[in-house]
Amino acid sequence: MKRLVVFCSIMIFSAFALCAETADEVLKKVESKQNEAKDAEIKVKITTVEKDGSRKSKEGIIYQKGEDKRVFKFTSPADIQGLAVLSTGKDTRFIYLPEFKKVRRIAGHVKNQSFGGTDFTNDEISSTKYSDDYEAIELKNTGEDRIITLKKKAGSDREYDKIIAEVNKDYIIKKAEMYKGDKLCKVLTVSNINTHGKYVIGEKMEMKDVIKNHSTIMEMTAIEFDKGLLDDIFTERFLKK
Amino acid sequence: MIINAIKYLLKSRYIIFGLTILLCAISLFLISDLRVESDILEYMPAEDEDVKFFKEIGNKYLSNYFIMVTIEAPEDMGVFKREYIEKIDKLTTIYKEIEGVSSVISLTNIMDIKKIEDGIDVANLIDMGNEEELTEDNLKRLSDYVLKNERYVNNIVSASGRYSQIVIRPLSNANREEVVKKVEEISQNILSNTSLKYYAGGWPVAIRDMNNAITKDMSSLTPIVVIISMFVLFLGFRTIRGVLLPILVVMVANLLTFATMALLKKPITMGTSSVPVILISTGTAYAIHIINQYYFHSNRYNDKGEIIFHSISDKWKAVLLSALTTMVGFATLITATLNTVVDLGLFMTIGIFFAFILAIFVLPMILYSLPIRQTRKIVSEEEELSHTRGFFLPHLERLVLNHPKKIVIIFLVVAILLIPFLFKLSADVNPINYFKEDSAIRKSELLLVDHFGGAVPIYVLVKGEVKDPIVMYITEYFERKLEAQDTVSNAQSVAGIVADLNYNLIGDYNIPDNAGKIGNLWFFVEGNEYLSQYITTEMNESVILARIESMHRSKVVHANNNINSLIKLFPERFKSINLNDYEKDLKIRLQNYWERHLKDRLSDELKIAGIERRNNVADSLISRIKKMNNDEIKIDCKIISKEFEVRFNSIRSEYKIDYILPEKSDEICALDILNQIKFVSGKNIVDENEIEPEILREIQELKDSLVEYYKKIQIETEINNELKIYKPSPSSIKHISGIIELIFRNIVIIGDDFEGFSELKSEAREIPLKYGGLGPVLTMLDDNLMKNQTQSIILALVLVFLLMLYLTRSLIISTVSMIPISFTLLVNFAGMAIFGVVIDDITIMIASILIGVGIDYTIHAITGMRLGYEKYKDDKKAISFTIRIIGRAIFLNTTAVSLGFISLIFGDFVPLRTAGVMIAVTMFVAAISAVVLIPSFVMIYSKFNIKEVKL
Repeated sequence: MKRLVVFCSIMIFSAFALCAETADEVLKKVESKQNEAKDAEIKVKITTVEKDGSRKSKEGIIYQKGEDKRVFKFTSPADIQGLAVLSTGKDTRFIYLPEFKKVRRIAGHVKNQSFGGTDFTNDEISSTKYSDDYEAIELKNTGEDRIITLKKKAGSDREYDKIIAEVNKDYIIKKAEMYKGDKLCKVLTVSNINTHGKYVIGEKMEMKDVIKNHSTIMEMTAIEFDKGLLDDIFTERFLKK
Repeated sequence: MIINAIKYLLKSRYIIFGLTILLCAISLFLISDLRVESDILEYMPAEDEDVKFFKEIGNKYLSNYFIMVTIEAPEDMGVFKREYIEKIDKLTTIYKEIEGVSSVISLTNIMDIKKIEDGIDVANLIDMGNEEELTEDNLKRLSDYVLKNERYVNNIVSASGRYSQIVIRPLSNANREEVVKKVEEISQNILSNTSLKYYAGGWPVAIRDMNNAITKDMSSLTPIVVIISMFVLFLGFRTIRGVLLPILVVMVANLLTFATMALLKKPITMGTSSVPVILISTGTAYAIHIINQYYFHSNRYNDKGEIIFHSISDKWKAVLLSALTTMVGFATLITATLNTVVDLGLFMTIGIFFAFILAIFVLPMILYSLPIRQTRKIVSEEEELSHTRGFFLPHLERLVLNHPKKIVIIFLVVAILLIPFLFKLSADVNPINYFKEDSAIRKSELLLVDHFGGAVPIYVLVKGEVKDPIVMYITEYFERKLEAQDTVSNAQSVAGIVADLNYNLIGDYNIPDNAGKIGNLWFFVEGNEYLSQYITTEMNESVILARIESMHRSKVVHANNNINSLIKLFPERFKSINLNDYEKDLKIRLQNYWERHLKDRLSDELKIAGIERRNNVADSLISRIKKMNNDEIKIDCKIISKEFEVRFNSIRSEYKIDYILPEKSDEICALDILNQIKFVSGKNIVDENEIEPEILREIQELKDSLVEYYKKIQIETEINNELKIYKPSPSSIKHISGIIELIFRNIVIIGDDFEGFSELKSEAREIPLKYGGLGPVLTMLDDNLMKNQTQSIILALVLVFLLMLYLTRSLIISTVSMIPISFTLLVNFAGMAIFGVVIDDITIMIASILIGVGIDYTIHAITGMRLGYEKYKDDKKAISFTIRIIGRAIFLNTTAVSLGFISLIFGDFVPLRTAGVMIAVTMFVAAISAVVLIPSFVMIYSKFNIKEVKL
């Protein structure tokens, strides 16, 4: 009986806690969860799926430190092996072209452009921060999951006006629908959500462009968190190595 | 037999009426499903190679049916105004949302490649999210940048900056008419309260306008021709039934014809849209013959049956013959390769058949059911001949009787004089030319021609792996070759984009010579929507897109011939070789080949730049550059120090190393100054051997890049010196410099036109080129139309000749009887050539009508001669009878038919109006030829004996 009382109390408390949670808080928790690790080194396989079902893959390694610093270094196919993209802030990006042995700055406004022919934009590849550009305006609870609606803030240059995201109990985004006006443009689906050490991560992400009927699958392996990556990695010099 | 049939039908006439009414009701129901389809591309011969290629490329690259919306800013300002740019962007965004639209490219979202400080920028031309880009100053800068960029000028913006174009590509399965409608609605809504104007153009818009014009013409011309025909019938009969019944016959024939069209699931085309007018004009003749005879006999008999039987008995053969010859004239069009012409021939034949059947079998039933109506007393032939009423026919009569030889000679001389004009005759199926010059679509197309390099899209397909350096080099080479062709403009390809990326990255407008570099550059543009017009996802082929500058047929043919000749002479296999891998003699031959190739390329670029004597200039430029070497490159010491300092900054901060420049007394340095630079770590000078390999490599790269940089500057200086009197544009300098850079390459491309190609070590790439697009397809259709016209005329003349042979059993009479109609055809086609009228899917029918209807006049004239001879047993009286009695009937019929056709001038389409006038005029030529030539031949050619002829 005592146990039952304790159980019921916890349930009621949890329900209250859940009800009290706002959309904004959920968004913040999602961001905090995504940027929880100090750093990460992840092997990535990116597969683009054309309208006709044909597939092309690229492989690389992502190095990430904090919210802003990220290096994406390609390991295959041969013609882009060694090509690397460094982002060190919202509008600061560099690309290393190994065949030309040159590092070149990429203009800031390309963030909404496709990242190397994938359905992810440069921005989506290099940043996980939504709250700078979006405000969470609505929250719905569906069992264990929550659905939050994000609306683009005035003045933001992000591509999508609205995002409806489905968030699981661990505050990991399972699915996100991106809209321009009321028109659905892209759908992100996250699967294989697993725990690595103390962090939870979706190991597979599929971004589908519903207008072009084209999609990109990003699969992550060899996931390592908190390796103590040095700042030297996030420099032009490292790109050339 | 036919009388028995009529007798039988008269008994069951109510069943016939019932069946006819039922058939009409069913037909009315069926034609409600008819649709209009004027797209000539839908009727192309499917098995034709050009057509297959056109459709294949069109489906893959969505290149056949794009809609072009031209935005016009007020005269005193360009489109580079914030308000206008925002409207263009809004249009771009909303057009994209239209169902069935694949892509939209405009000034605001076209992919732009430009160099930025220490970097490269590949993005939309205008970043609409960035407020700063839309300030007045920045838009002024943007305007300067865009109007100097060959990728945009005459492509997305006019050279004046006043016009901008938005290109909308519908999906291959889209309802294009619906897309055009939406595009216009959106444009209207968004631009309604602005000073911007818009013009929608392109093939889908032309087709939509044609469909509308066809519907409009059919609904307006049919009543006009009915009214004109009723007026003529009233003049002839002056009775209600005489006016209404022939019209009823052809209207029912029309209804049944269009119901057949619906049953066969055939849409109304440009050609078949003229069926009602032609059928009313030509088909009433059968009913007129019967009614005329009915009135004739109604004065002689009191029994309705008697009147009908005699009328039918007298006229059914003549009506059958007339219908048969007209059907033959149209049926020969069924042999055409162009389905729209086939349909016209088929349904006109069917229509004439229905008109004949109705006139012979249903019209008598109606007349039988009506009370007998006698008409005014018919003047006897004798009375008619005794009068000298009128001016025209008596004069003709005197002329023929007195000067038959002169008449024949005059006709012969006129014919000889007209023959050369036949060779100037041409065909043109471009639907844009069907519209009046002040129509919206013509205005839109003129804008495209005047400001956007033309409205006839063409392409060259390049087979081979797109990212292969050899394939890409050849693609870029041919792109420029196309651009250098007269009458071709806006040649663009994916290779041009890669060369542009290379230019913005390292200052060299060229395709890199290795796949890795291309792969690196490709990363910037991969997946960009803009590329889908040039490549497919398989990446095993690409297209070079271009436009023919004019819609004029001669320009299109000229461009086609030039491009086909280029491809014919172009090597098909290529090898990439390193010159250093070959021994002296072969190396010299290879170098010479490469130099010749570069001279050819240079010559093309100089032509594009508008430079005359380009071969001499190319020679002089190449020899000037060949003399140049690094030692000769001199530069201001201060500039080189400054440049080195800027580039050294990253090495200094990362590796904690500094440098000291050599002391120089003079202010001009040779490039070897870079080798005299010393490096210091702390306060000590470091020997290069002691520097870490990684740092040394970076320093060397820095030096190399500076050498490259100054070499480029030197090359540009040499080019500027050589070409300064021609003042080439920066864009021309960019291309010319690119070619000059190739002189220094060791890895070169060798084509299979090199003697000893097979002995070269590297693997050969097969890179076939194929030319296609609207240009060659339109020319193919034109050529087919010309062939179809010739074939159908020959076939019709042969069939009519055989028919005459069967009827007259005389080779001479049959042959002579072909002369009037042949002369008429000659006058028609020479007239078309003289007045610049082309053969199209409307005017192609003129010859059929002339043969079909015109031969009737000859038959009437021959019959007249025979009847006249039978009556008067005298040649001269027979001639008088033919000219004054039969001739009068012929000219009355000609006037009626011509008046019917002249109603076509009220139509919207130029060819329809032209055809109306041509037929109306040449019908008289046919009538005069028959009435004058047949009696003249009788007088001068004794073997032309028609006394015995049975018709």
